[in-house]
Amino acid sequence: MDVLLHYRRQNNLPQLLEIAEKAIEKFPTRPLPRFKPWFPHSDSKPPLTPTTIPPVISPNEVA
Amino acid sequence: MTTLTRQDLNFGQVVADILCEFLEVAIHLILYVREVYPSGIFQKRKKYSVPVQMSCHPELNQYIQDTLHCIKPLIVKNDAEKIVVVIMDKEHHPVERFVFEMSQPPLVSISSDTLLSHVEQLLRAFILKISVCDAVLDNNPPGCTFTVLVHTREAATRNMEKIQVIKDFPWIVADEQEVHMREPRLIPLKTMTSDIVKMQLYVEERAQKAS
Repeated sequence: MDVLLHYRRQNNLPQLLEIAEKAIEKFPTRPLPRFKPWFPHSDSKPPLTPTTIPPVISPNEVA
Repeated sequence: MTTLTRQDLNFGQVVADILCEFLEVAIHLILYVREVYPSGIFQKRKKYSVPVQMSCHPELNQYIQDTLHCIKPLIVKNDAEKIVVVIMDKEHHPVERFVFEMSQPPLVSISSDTLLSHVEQLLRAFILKISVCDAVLDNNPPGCTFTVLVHTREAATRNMEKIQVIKDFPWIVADEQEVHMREPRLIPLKTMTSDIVKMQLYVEERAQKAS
C-alpha cells in the first residue's frame, strides 16, 4: 500500500512518520451497541405531572 | 476526601443533587433549542465547562425549580425511572418527548471527589447533544408549551405523597392525552454508564407535527 503524507515544513519528519504509521495501523474494535430504551412505555403505569402549567411568555413581553 | 457507600444516607442525596442540577440545565437548554420560549429571555452561561442558555425569567425559573424540588425525593430513593420533558402543541398534544431514563446501580464505595469530577464530565456529553439536537428534529409548530412527566418504578399513586413536597405545587397522575404519541420517531441522543448512576436520553418525535 502506498501512503502519501502531507506535512508542514517546520514539523519533524521522522517523528511524523512514526505517528502516521501508528495512526494507520488496524486496531481492535468493539461491536456497536444497539440503542434500546431501558423502560419501554407501559399503559399500566401512568406518570405523575404537576397540575400547575408553566408560564406563557409572549415575545412582546421580552422586547 | 470523604468516602461514600450506597448505604450512606448521604449518598442518595448527593446523586439526587447532581442529577437535579443537571436536569435544571437540560430543561432550560431544551426550552431554548426547541424555541418553546422567546430567545430574548435566555442568557449564555457556562455549565460543565460548556456554553448553555439559561432563562432569566423569574416565573419560569421558579416553575422549573419547584418541579425539580418535588422530583428530588424520588431520585434520592431511586424511585424515579424516567423524567420526561414533553413539548406540546396548542391543542396540548405532545409533539416531542425528551426522555431521561435513569437507574442507580448497586455500589460498594466511592470517593466523593472522584464522583463529582467524573460524573460532571459525563453529563457534559448530554448537554452537548441537546445543544445540537435541532439538526435532527423538525421544527415545532408555533405556540408550543411544555410539561414534565415522572415515571416511577412502582405505581404512581404509591409515590404521590413523596412528590407532594410543595403545598402550592400539586401533582396528579397524567392523563392519556399528555402521554400518548402516535407512531413516534425515536432519536437516541446519549447513553452513559458510571459507577453511581446510569442515564440514557432519547427524543420521541411525532411524525406529523403540523396537523
